[in-house]
Amino acid sequence: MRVDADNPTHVQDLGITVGPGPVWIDTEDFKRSTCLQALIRLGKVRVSSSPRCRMPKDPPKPKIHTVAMSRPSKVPRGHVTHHKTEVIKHGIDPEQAQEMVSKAAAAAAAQAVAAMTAQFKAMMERPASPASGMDGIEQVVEQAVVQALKAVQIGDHARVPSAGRGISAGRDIVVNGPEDPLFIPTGIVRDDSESLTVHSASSGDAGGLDDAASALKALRKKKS
Amino acid sequence: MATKKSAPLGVGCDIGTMNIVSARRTEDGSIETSRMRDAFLDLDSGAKRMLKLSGVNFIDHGDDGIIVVGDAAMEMANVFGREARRPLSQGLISAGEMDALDVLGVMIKNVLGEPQAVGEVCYFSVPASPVDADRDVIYHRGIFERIVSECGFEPIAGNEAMAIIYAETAADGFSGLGISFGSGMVNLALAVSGVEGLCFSVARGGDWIDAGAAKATGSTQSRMCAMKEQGVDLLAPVGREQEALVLYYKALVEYCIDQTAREFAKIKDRFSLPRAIPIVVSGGTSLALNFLPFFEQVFEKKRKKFPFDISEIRHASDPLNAVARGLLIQAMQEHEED
Repeated sequence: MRVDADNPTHVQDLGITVGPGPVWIDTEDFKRSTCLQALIRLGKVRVSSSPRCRMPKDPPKPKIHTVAMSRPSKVPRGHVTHHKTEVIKHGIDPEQAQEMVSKAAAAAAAQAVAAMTAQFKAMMERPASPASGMDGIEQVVEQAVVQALKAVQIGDHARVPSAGRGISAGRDIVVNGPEDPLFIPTGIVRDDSESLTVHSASSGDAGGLDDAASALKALRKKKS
Repeated sequence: MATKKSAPLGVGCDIGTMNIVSARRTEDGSIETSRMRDAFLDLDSGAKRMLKLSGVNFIDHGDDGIIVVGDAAMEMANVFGREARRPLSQGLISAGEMDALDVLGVMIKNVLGEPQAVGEVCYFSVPASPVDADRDVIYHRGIFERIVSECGFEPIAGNEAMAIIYAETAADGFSGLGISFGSGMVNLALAVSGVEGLCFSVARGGDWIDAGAAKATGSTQSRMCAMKEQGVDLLAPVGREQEALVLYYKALVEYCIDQTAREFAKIKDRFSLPRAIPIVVSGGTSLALNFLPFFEQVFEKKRKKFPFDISEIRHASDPLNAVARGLLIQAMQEHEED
């Protein structure tokens, strides 16, 4: 029960002082306290039988993950950013990503085939070329595929989801476009360039070089 | 073009920050190496007469002046109190150095000479990408492919440090750690049975030593370079400047050993070394007196933490020409395989 008073009033048989704030006592204490009954009759204290209200606890505060930052954050403290929602809004769905990748792969394959065809034709016309043979073919294929893959563009910023985890858990893969073109000037060496004196020396130690060349040849044969 | 000589076809060309060196077989069976200092200096046209009398190499640009090239450029730079210009910086050519391209074109043409036959292969050296600098070798490689091609050769790029493996480790089954201590950078390659396991470079070399020692002693980089080339005993330096040079030599060797361990850690799970392998050191920066025992001293302190066993540490048989010789071996193979 709620007991209230305007001025501090001591209740002798309960051993409590009431007022000016409310004091809560049991109903049994209320019934057995003759002092309290007398004070009520005198109008010194007021009693109300409304049940003690349950004050809810403070709601749990959101956890703010603090990290060491090199510069002050522009985001106010306690502001919660919902990254996942952002990703879902701006990402592309797996079907779209798959379609883009398929298109890019088809373009790369077509480009590689075209490049290889031209180079094989050139090799056939130059049978004595040092680039012919298996090494030459491997080199042509490798270069064509690498060039084709470099030239292919999937998108400025494709978001590829990892399998079974959905878009929000996907890994961001930045797919850059083709590299900047590389300018290699021509005509660096002129036909009429000056004749300069160079330091030349002759070494009779060609045996070691021949041995090394033979050993390397044998090693390569063994491997092939 | 018809074949002029009966010498084996193929040329190796080491294009370094300090020297351009070519190697080829001659018809009498010996190996001929040609070298030119990779430096130039532009002067007024008034100096032309004096230079003609002295027999110095220069390129005449008419009223625009003259360009002295090679060793003479370094010597004259000291005379005029200037720094000689270098077409390559830290082992690589810089995009936009158009003056340097013309000079390189003339120098490489003279060092290579004329091809003996149509389609003669020239293996030229390309450094590996540096692990400690944001530079790639694509432009560098493209430029030299073009220059060598315009000189009349079939250009093929070869890794600088792997060339040392081919030239110096035949007796070890082409297994070893080749280290090319160059002027602009240090190139390293680890190979087992001719298979390249690791190739990288660090953007420090002889120039880094010169610059560091010059800064520490209040001297100039050119003076430090000259002092180094005159001969510094790494185990008994004399004077403050030589001591500074030795300090930077030690730092460079330690840095290379540490970087090798670090790079090897990245591949150790997929590359096994069945036995101990040799380290072969080469390059102009390794020509300092007592470089090999000095390297061994530094290595011994780090041997316990080094990630693979080393059977021996040795110098290349011809440190200035080892890369060119290794490239020549590869070029000759191309013609033998035809």
